[in-house]
Amino acid sequence: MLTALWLVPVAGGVLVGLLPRRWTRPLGVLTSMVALALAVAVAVLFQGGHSGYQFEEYVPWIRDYSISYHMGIDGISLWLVLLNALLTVIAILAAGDRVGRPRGFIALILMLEGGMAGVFLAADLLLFYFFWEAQLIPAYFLLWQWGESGREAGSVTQGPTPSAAATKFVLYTLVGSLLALVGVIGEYVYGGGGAHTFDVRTLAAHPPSEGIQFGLFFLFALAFAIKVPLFPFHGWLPDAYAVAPVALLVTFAGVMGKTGAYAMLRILIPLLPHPTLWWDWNAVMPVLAVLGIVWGALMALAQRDAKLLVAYSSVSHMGFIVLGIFAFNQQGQQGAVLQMVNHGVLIAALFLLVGWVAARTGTRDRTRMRYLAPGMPVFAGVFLVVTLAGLGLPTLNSFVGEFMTLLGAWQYAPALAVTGCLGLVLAPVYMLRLFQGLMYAGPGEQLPPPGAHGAEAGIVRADVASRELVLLLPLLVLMVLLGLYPYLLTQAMTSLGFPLPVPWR
Amino acid sequence: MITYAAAQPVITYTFQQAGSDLRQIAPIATVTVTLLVAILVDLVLPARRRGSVVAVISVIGLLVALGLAGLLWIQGGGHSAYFGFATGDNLALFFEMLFSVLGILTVIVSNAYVRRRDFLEAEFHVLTLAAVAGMMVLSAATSLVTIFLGLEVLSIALYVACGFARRDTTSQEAAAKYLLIGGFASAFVLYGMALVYGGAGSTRLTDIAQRIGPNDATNPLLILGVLLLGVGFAFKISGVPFHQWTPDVYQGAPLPVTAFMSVGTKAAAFAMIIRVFDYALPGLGAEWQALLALVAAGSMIVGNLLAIVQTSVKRLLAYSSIAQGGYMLVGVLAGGQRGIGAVLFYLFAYMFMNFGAFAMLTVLVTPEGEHDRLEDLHGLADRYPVLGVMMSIFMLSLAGFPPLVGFFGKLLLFIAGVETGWTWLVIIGVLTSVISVAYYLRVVYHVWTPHAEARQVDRAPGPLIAVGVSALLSVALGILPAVVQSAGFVGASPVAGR
Amino acid sequence: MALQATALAILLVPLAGAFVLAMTALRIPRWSVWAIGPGVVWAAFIGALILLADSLQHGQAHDFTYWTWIQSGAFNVPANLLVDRLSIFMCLVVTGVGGLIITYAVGYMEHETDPSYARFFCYMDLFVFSMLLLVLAGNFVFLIMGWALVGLSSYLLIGFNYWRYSAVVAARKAFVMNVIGDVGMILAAFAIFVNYRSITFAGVFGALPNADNGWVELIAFLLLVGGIAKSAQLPLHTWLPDAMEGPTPVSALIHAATMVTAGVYLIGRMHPIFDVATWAHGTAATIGALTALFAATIAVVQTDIKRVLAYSTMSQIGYMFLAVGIGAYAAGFFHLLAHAFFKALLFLGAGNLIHAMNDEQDMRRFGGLWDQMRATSVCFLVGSLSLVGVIPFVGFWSKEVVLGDAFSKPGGWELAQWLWLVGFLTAILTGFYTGRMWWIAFAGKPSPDRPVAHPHEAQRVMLIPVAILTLLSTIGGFIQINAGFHQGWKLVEDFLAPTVGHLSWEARDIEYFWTAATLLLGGVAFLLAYNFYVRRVWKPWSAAVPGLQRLLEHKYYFDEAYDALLVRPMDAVGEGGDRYIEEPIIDGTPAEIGVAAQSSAAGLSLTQTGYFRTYALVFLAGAVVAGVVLLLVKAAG
Repeated sequence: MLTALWLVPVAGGVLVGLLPRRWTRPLGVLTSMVALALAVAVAVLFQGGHSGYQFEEYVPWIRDYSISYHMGIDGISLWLVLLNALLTVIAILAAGDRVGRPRGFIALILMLEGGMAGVFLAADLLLFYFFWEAQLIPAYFLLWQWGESGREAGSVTQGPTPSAAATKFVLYTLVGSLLALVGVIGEYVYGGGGAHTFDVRTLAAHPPSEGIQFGLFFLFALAFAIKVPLFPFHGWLPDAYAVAPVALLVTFAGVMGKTGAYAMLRILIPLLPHPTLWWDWNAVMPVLAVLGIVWGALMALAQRDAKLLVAYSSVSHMGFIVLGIFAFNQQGQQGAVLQMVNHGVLIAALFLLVGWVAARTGTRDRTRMRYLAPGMPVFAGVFLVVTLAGLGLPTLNSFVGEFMTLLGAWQYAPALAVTGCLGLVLAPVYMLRLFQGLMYAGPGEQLPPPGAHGAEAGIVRADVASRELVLLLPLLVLMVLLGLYPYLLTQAMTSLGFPLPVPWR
Repeated sequence: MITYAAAQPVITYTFQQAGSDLRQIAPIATVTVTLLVAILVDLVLPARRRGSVVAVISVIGLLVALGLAGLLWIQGGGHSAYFGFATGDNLALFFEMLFSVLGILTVIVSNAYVRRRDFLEAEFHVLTLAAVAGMMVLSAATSLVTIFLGLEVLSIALYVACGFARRDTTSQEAAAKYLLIGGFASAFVLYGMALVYGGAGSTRLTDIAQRIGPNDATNPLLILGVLLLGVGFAFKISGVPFHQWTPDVYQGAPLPVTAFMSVGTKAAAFAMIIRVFDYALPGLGAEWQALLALVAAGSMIVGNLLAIVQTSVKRLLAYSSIAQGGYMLVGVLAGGQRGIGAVLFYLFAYMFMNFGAFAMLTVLVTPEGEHDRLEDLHGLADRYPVLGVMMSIFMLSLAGFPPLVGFFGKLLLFIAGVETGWTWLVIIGVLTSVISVAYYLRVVYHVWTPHAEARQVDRAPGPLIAVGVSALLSVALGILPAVVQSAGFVGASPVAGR
Repeated sequence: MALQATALAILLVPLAGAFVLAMTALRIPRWSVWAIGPGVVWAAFIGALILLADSLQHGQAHDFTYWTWIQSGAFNVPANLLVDRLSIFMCLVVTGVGGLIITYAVGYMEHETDPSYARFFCYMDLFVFSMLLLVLAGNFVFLIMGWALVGLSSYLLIGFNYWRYSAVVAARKAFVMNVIGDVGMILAAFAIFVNYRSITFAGVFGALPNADNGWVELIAFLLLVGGIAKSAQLPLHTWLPDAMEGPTPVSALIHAATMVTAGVYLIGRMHPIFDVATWAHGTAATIGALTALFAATIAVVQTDIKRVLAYSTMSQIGYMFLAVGIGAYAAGFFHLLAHAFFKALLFLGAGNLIHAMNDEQDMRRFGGLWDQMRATSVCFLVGSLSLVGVIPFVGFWSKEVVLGDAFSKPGGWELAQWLWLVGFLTAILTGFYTGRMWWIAFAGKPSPDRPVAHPHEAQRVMLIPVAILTLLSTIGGFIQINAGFHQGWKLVEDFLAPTVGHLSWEARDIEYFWTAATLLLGGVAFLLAYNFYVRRVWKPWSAAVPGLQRLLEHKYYFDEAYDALLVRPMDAVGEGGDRYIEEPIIDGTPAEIGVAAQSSAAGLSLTQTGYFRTYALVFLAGAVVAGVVLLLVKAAG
């Protein structure tokens, strides 16, 4: 069952790559749909309030090193797997005819889905790392081969070439992940009470000495922080997001960062609960998270490029996730998981919308767009809802995550929560600047209202197409649903594969 | 003070004894016989048909050798032979199998290559066989004497092979350099052996292992001996700072030779290092480990750094092979079943990914010569996506990405390293791997860069088969590494003192 | 059960209306908009009446839980609604006055294009839903939701004319300032949960300590931040005047009658907390009194009729804060009710004028409308007198209750009394600026540059709501006639007593005198304005003190200060950080490392000369180095 969750997309991707072009889109859509259906089935059969992994699969892989193919799903990974499957469907549909050479694109995006699903499902530290690294390959090729850059792509500055951005992304990520490989080996050698095992449960049961933890924590945390990305390790993000095509960003921004956050919650904290030697790493992380929240928001304020504005807003949002994880209490950490799902839903919608605006106007420079609302009223309405979700409006989904993570942070150290709230105050500033700047009248303008005499001049009529609306509909529904009924997620969340240092009840 | 106990003179040497001894070295014997047959055939047959016939013969011979080695491996119980001068133990068998496979790959690749550049094909295969024989001897040798024997057989064959492109001056230059500096290194090895013999009073590794304990670490003879040996060995695995010949020779030598030696020489040299240092001289562990650790670190750093700025794929791969040698030294330093087993696994993986990469270049060869500039790769993936994917597989595997075999190779080496406290080397290893990714991806980048007129490739089956098999195994072993890994453990068992 | 459904229906019906309008905005005929827009609000009003009937019958409060919003460890948030006297009271105000205003809008917005027309009523219904959620919420999370949603609808309606940039920025300003308030509420919720391990009103009020302590004060202050941001009290008031960019019915409903009084509701709802947290409580009262005076002074110099009303709104809400701040909750809510009546009346009346004057809002360009728009003039006069606090209009009764309660609060000459003094002076100022407004707009000759020579009286659909509000402003006061001296019936206080309790102190007879004084002086000030601005027998006071005039016209330079201290620095930090930290360091470092590696490699490759002699040399050197290292190792150990 779980194997299918990652194998189906990968196999489908390979198939898409091999079969002739006319099969590409139907097969791609079909595969992603099947994967989604499987994920939903797992979610339905999932039993809340049951401790330990579910749908577990165990096959010894390399006996001499007690490496095993060990898969399991629990209350946390379940939701991320679902998110992954859903967003991949949307990404493939969004790719539509907007992406050149769709065969390779769809094949790789399916493989990417498989890789990320594997990260969420692995219950063996090495298996986890295996997928963690494997997902880089499709990501690299997608960024490089399908990346778009320069003014013809509508960006404000000429910016980096796709290959440069892709290489930067891979190398930057690898600095972390290869050090994490040393960490993995270190866990194997020093952790688990000398059992020489990669089994996460055993490793969590017997963490190494605090001094060792201090070292290993650094090795792991760096990798995960770069992936998230956590301030100040987000150097790869602006370039990568700037070149990535929108369809790719749906999963690339929507899910990949979550693998890092997931790893922090599922690997870093349980395996290394007390990383204290010269100082306590656990105290450093939340500070970085808060700095990231504020910094991302400030950078978003400074961006002219709409796509980059959204990119930095996601830096700010990811800060909330890390903050919640390192609040070390149930509210904060469950809030972080909620925020992972919510942010995935949100950022996908935001990038789609920004991308479509750019496609219509031929630029991503928000100072060169204005007063689009009359020409695309429905689009404007949808954009408004997404914007509101983006600025954390209560009753929409991202408020839940932000509220819970900050509540957790307050219990850990009120100062962190208060500083984090700056993010809440700045979010409406930059989000509304984006939305109003694009949709409404520009500075000092006094235009005739739509419909009034002579108002039609200079209004571009390009409202959202129904097939675009179809892509957004599930996201919009989720924004409302998860905003009004987050219990839907939290009720199943407490049934964990193995307990966290701070138990969830 | 070491007592010089002269070995008992052996009076009786029965046929049955001879038979069992021969049994231990059966694969080597087979290759040697094949070699002789090949030479004879080369003499008698008309020039037109020689090449292919010799090729067939060598392939058959190597297959037989492979089969025999496999048989012995399964039967197990290989033991020392010829009064402890050679052995048929699992380590030897592992390498003999590896070399047979390598030989077969080389023959089928070079067959097409030589045709394309119309060299004298038969000699080419003969040289390959000779080198294989030398490598096998090296891997089976358990006495300093036989070790040196194997070393020279292998080296001399390769000296000639490097200069095989007679009309090509770079090939000549490569041969000359290799010969001179190789001789230089052989001298080091020989002196080192002499000194060790002086210190141990025997050339047989078993005796050395018994007689030299940690308390002999004060013996200047031995220390100097270890130093000289270490330098010589480091040269053979082209470890920094004894590496400078590598890029020139790799670039100058004909592609199949480069492919062959980049894997074979390294493997043979590692067999030698494992036997001499890990097995025979644990007593001087501190010394040779300090030496090799230095070489390892240097190779990883310099090799990877210099690879970045290369424009020729051959040179780039040469530097990468220097770095790869550095990674493998970590396993040697770790020693023990896990350390040596990791080295064996890595060598096996390395054979496919590295050879595959070179074989891919032979596909691009035209009668005018080789095309190994990065730009020559342009348009490859455009015209032949499958080839593009395969080349990418080799590069990513060398870079150590899962799900490719290179990942597990590094993993096992680094595990062994950390377990035995070589963590600092491992950290250097991973950080330099990041650099390595930079240039491996550059190759990938050029492979996938479109090109106006996509160049014709050689459609001869040989190279394509070799490439395909290598790519297939690079993936398959990446998903199911346990097979080779456990074999590596078995192969390591005879020398895994600790 | 039925009641539970009713409570939910009151919320959902307006929401459904908003949803339907949003879905169909682009292709819906007007008549259906008329039906849906105001219809759903009146439906909600009926629902509120049902709740009222039940409450008057049985009198006990209900706490309805519908589903679990979230459950995370000890943090358990039910989706529950609290139906008690206070929330019913607010529901009635919101739906009743709201219904009138939205009905009025049917006529007022007639010039809009169809999509805008539907959009307007969609937003209005959304607002009604949000406000009802705010007052019905039974826990802090849902309170915050309502709190933010009214902010949102206010944002949408202020920016309704998005083709006017001034409207766009005003909307953003209002939203951001309200978010600051939201954050205050959110932090308060955190502190509450951490201290009392509960997040529902019932749970928290049950767990409150009976002694004052730091946490209670902190919580109360944080709540107060939300309150003053929403109610445009000092120092978070600057958004309200700009909010007048919205269409006039919006100003009437949101920025006069209902939303801006949410702060008062908050303090009343949270009175168990404020009763304990004496400092925060006093602060609320003080801020209220100061805002009252502050806003009144600014109102004196405004020329835009809607801005005058906006500042008077701030001022009147100041009175409410004063009342609830000193613990006279019933008085505060009575004034809230009264204010809803007469301020809605004034705005709608102003709406009639603006409608007739082709959207001209500068009252100096009106003048002489008494004859041409008699009905509106009369209604506006009633509203004005009510605002001034002239007997028998509703404003008199409510304002005097506030002042009287403040004056007679026991404890000699203390905070309450000082605040009363401020309120007393404000009352006189109120008389003056209200008079100024009314005289300038209606009396005297038509101004020469009046946009319309012969304005038409407003149509019926607009006049009827105005008339009803006029009636309410005239007789509405008689539901509580204990102004100043605690005699006579006091229905509002009695009605709210189950929730906020009775006033805890008795009147003092001297109040008679002060009540009379307030009434008299206020009235006189109203009349004096005539001499200043119509007959111009006296030259305007501003000539005497031009400095003061300028200070007031610049609204004490609050906007300028915020711009210089917050907005610009924030942007500067963003830009600077992007240019000097993000780009070169965070973004640039990886590239620099790459370059460094490249160059070092280039340097190394110089050794690769290709000459055998070099190689041999390096080889030997290497061997020597190795030897040295080996010796060092031996030496070391």
